[in-house]
Amino acid sequence: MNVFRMRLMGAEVNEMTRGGEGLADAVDAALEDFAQNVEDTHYLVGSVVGPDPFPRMVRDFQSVIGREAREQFVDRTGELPDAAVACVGGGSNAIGLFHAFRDDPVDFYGAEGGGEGSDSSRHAAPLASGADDVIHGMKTRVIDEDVEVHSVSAGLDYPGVGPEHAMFRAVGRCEYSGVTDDAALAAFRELSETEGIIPALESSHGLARAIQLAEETDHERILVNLSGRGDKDMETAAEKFDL
Amino acid sequence: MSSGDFDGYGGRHVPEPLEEPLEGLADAYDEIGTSDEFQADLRSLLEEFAGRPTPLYYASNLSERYGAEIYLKREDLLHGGAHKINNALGQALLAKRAGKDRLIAETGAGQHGTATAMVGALLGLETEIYMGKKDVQR
Repeated sequence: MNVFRMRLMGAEVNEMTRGGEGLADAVDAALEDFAQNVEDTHYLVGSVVGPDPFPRMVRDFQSVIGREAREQFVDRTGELPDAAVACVGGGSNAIGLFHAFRDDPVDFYGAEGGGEGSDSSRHAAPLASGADDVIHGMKTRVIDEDVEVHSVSAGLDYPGVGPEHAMFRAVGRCEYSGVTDDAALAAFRELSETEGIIPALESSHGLARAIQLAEETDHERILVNLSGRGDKDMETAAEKFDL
Repeated sequence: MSSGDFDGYGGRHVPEPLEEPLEGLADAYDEIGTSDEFQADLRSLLEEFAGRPTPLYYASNLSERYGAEIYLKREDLLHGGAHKINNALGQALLAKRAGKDRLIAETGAGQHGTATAMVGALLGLETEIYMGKKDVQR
């Protein structure tokens, strides 16, 4: 559906058949195009990844999320949240939410694509389980070589992560963990059933982490970035659930 | 230490031909992107084209079930159905002001590609999207 939408609006869509045929291969192809056409072309990087200035520029453009949310939260409750939670692929919706709260006593939680488990051989959780490396023009955390990058959600299916998240992890500002495909799918279904809101599979990872925190910690007020809607995920969900 | 340095992470690890255009982009962002005029134009587009501000929603049923107050920032209600439009509008407006006439983008689930196609159409910029075959199929 998304490919048709893009074409309908006049964009040319190139299918990449090399490598793992996923997001990382699309980034490689876009970087090559950019190198050959720098005079007239802007590479519109979609997350807080890549070489400078992309990570800080994309963070600044996404920070409107946290600025609004902080004001709305204080207006509504008179207090700050105890925790802010978001899914992390490249990490733009998470950085966008966190930035306004970075100097506040608010705990940050990043939910990576845990795939079949962040200690398994198929996941997309370089912060929970990975090592320092260079990828796509940045030094950051990358999944180990013997791990196949995998997440049920295409938007989290990326071997690296934004460098600011690597820094947050190193200094202990944010706690990152992998949320498995199964846990994300359960949260996807639960929000649909309880609130009448169908979240994107990406966002369902953050939601699953928030539910864990509600059950296992003493956090009383938890703010979750519902970064996208799930319409695009109907086919995947229909294969998983027998409704 | 450059401003793209995050305690030793980040930086600009690229082949030499990309150094200069990235430096040019950084300069354009620091000069144009932070100006009052640019920020005012971006704010209008975020409101009128993308649908900001998005609501903060108290998920009362979920909260009752788990015994904590759970609030959702509803970025799913933005034009295109994801937060991606915030960034796409900002970068496309910057590219246009910097004299570029073509946008390229990578996409995974297709949300960022969709956001880029939207702003390309809006601002009259040629747009080309790269997407893995595996992601096209799912």
